[in-house]
Amino acid sequence: METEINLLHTKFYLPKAREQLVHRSRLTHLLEEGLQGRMVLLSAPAGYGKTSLLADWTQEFHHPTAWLTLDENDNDTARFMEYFFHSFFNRGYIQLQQLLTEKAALFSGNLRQNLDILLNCILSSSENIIVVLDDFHHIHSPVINESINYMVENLPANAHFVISTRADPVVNLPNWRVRGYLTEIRRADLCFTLKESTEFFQSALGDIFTRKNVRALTNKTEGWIAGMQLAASAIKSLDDTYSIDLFIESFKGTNRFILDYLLDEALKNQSEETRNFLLFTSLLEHFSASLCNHVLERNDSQQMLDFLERNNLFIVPLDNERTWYRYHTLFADLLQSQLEKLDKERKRLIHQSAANWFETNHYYNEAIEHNLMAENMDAAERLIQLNAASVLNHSQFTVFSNWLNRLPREKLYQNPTLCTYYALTLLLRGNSYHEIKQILESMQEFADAGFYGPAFIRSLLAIIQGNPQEALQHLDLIKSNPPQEDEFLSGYLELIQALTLPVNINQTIENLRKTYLRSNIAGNLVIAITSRSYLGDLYNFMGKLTEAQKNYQEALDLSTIDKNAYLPIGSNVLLGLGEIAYKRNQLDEADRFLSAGLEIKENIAISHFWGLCTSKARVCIAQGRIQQALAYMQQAQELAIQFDTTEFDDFVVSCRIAQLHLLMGNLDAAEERVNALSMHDIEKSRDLASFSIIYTPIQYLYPSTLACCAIHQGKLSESIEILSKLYHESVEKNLGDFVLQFSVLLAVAHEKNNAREEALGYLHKALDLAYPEGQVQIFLEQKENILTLLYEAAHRNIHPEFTGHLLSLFPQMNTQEETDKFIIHDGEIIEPLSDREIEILALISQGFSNQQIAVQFHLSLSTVKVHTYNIYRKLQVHSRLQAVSKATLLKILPPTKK
Amino acid sequence: MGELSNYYQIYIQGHLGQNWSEWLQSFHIQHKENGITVLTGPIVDQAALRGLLDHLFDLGICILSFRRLGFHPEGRIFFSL
Repeated sequence: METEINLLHTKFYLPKAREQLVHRSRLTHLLEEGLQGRMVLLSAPAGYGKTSLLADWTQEFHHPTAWLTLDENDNDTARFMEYFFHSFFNRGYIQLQQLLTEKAALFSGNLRQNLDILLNCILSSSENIIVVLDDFHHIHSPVINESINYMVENLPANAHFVISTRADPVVNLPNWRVRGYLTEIRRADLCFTLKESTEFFQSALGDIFTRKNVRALTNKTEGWIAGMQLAASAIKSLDDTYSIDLFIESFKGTNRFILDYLLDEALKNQSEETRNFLLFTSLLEHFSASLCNHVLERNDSQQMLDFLERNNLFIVPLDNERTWYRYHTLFADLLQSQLEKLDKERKRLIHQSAANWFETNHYYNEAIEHNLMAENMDAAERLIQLNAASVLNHSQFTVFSNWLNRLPREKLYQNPTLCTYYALTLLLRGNSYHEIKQILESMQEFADAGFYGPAFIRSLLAIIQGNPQEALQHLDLIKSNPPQEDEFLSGYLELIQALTLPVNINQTIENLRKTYLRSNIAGNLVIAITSRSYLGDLYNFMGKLTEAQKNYQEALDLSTIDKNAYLPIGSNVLLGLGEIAYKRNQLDEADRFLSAGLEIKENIAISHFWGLCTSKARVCIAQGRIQQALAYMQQAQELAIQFDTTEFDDFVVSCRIAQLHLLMGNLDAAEERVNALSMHDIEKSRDLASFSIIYTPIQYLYPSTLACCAIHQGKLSESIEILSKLYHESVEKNLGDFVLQFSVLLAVAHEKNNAREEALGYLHKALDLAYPEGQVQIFLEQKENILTLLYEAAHRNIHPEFTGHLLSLFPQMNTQEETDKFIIHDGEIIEPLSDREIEILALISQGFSNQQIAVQFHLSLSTVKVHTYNIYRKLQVHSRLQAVSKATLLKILPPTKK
Repeated sequence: MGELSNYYQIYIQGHLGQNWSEWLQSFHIQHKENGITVLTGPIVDQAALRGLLDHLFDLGICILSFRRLGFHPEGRIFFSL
């Protein structure tokens, strides 16, 4: 793996104030005052000295400052987060840095959580924290803008933001203005005043410059600093014979675009050497003396750069060592427009030369860029391929596809390895089926020659489409010619094999563990996380929630250690964690995980996102938020339609939605869905689990939906038939979670069918399974259907404590028999006590202790406690005394005879 | 009147030399007397429009107005709406 060097350190570089610059204390003081509030916004077009002002201010007031210069690429949320958090380090924030380091392990893929941790650390440190985000106009990501909103909203008093930008950011400015959070320094403030421009021209040009001249130039440029700098350069280079007044007259009179004109004038009188240096280097985004020497074939670039810097000729140093520079964007653009006069060939050569230098020095990103600009597609392709594995291993799919997008199609199609990688990234994105097919077609001749790529892609495609037989066929083709040198693909292959070869769940777990270990050692992060996540899934199937949780958590941590982008599978992990929390009725936590998963999606469009939506809907239903649940269900459906690589997911989503409707009691809606399912898809789903055990939930999806519907429709024997089969199958396969699900359903079905003993038998089994893992929701979902059974179970001493706990979780609900016997007293509705409860209450009123009552009725102590609890609950009291007196008052108990 | 074309006309402050034409994505550059330049050219979609405006804005060019042009019923000549 090639190690890559990069120019990252320049992003955190706090610019130093330049000596000759006019010190604008009116503005630095404005800034300083603004730091009493939450944010200072510096918003003005290019060339108004924003960054210089900030440098000036840091110098004057000596605050430790976190600094981050942003660029286009920072719209990637993961990247932004990484750099943002990093910007607080090595800035003199000792306490904050320590706190952040301590909490490092807590950072995860959840943006909101990470921000909370950061805000807490800031709160805990006593330091005054200032963070500057320069060039914020590059940011258009709504996720990042939201994060800024969130942070400002919740900002501790010791923290302050400074945002420097060329365009107002899309954040909550109006709101902050009203609340006084915001200080703005805008173009009008940043214009040079007459006093300031006088000072400027004085230091730049000396006394030859009259007041009249200053005023004329200030007016013409409207205080635009960039304009004035250029004007000064132009004037400086004037011939002695050419009077300044004349220059200014002609300048005032010209209609030309100011900067264009001034640049011309400024360049006109420079030496050809300087001119060429400026023009040619303007093609380079970042440059160093060494790079310039190479590209321009000279050896005095360092002197040239020093000269330019000293004379304020547009270059900006990017680090302390004065190694790297860039042009102020304004001037880069201006210079490049001048380059039009040169021929294209010259420009191309410059890019090529730069590309070569960057490559030799291991800056591969920049090398690829310049090769593409030089239209040297061969070199670009070579470098992309060289770096593909490491880039993909770190899941930087966006970076990778950006490169490939700029290669001409014909070139790409001739490179089988790159094509395969490209197709893989498209598959993960899920909505470019058409393009994937095109790629496969173009790779046909390679396939014929025995190349593994197309078969690999086809097998993945088949898996996604729910055609396991086909997938296996394609995989067989690969076995004869496996991709050994290709770390990335062979890791993927191993994962698929681990998932598909044996059908026994324990064996699959074993294989996945091995895959995980191997990929971890090989540094193949994507495979490591994916396999770990599948392990979580499998334990989930077995009903071993705690074990599943451990695996999911580790998978999530893995994506954090890398801190580089959120892997597509990250959302799968969050889905798993969310579902576990839901099963345990930890609804807030479930909400958090699922929301985090939905957030990750912003980065890369992935399949299975709808799974998060349907799970979120389920949580909403449990929380009583029906409108929201319906919205999520709608979203899930739309996403499934968008994912055009297969129609099969529409089937899966439809079933899930049907089940959600049943949860809400909408039998009609559910039936409609079920009836609309295609036979073809139903057939497909019947045998999926034999391909891989990971498909079990999908295989059971249709029959269980059918059975649930049948229960609601009163077709009890039908449902019992289906459920019994499913039950026995899952027992056989050791799939504890499904056994639990089916036994609960069977209990309900039998109960409705008036087979109380059968029902209790299954309920007992369910309680056995649910109790050790705290599975609660599976019962709550059944609502009143299971209430009587639970009471009965408690009565019969089956898991009395657990049943008691479950009953206490049910919102005030009543079985049908008892609903008729309500007492209304003083505006309160009093639930009727059962016969047993009255008996117990009678003994209580006679002073019996719980233990004595237990003995009396041959019950366990726990059962008596359950009854007592229910008595209190129904009577809405909190003690034995209260219970007795209220019951007497309500004539539930006969008045006590002394 | 007439269908909308994908040609836009942008009025900016200051005369831009012809050397800017290519840099401005092959727009046609026309100078008016009062120090105003008219740029006319095709913009394929909203994102491209935004890109061009950003470009001009970044240069500190003052944008006075912009609008979309329609088709002359007879064919390819554009007239202003």
